[in-house]
Amino acid sequence: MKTIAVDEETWKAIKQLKAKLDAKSYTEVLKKLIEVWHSVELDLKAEKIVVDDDKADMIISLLEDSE
Amino acid sequence: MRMLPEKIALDPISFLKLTRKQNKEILEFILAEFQVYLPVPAVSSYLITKIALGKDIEEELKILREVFNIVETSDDLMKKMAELGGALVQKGIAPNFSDLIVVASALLTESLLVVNDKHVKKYEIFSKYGLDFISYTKFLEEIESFVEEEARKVVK
Repeated sequence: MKTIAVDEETWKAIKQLKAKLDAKSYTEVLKKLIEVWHSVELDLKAEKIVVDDDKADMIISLLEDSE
Repeated sequence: MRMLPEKIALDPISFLKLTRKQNKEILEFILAEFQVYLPVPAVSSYLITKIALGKDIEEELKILREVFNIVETSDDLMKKMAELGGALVQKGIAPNFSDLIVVASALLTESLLVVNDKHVKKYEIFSKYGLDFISYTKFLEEIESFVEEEARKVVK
């Protein structure tokens, strides 16, 4: 097991989150936070990449016809 | 059991189809589960779309590099293209350079190439040179069953 230090404000917030999540340990809370962070990151990445369907379809149709 | 490999490459039209807004959730899942390689023709097709939409290309390219692995032009890529092109010429087939870049990129990255359904036939000839490919529709079907399998694990 490893120990990490956090300030008072973070400690209160993470204790509240542990209660809300009904988590058995702080490891479980941190794992959940990491999981959510990854999910949010993926959502942000995908949001930057996606193109409106009609615009994408127009280009796809042009490229398909050119091949 | 997972049937798909961890590394995939996308041909230009498959990539454009995957970036349609309606596929955002599938794209998120793919980004979480696969290493995604983009051959140069897929990158340029995407950037052409963005130019048509009046976007800043510098910024769009930066975002692509953050999210995907772009298969850069290299000596190895050019040698692989030459090998493939040479083999086609010996058979009397005129090589399409965009296809050669796409196939060489998939071979160099040892990834499964996802190809547009309408173009499956033209990739068949590359199987004998080690290309592993799948049609876009079949790929989405595999992803769907993969998602169902993952969901079942969570329920258990």
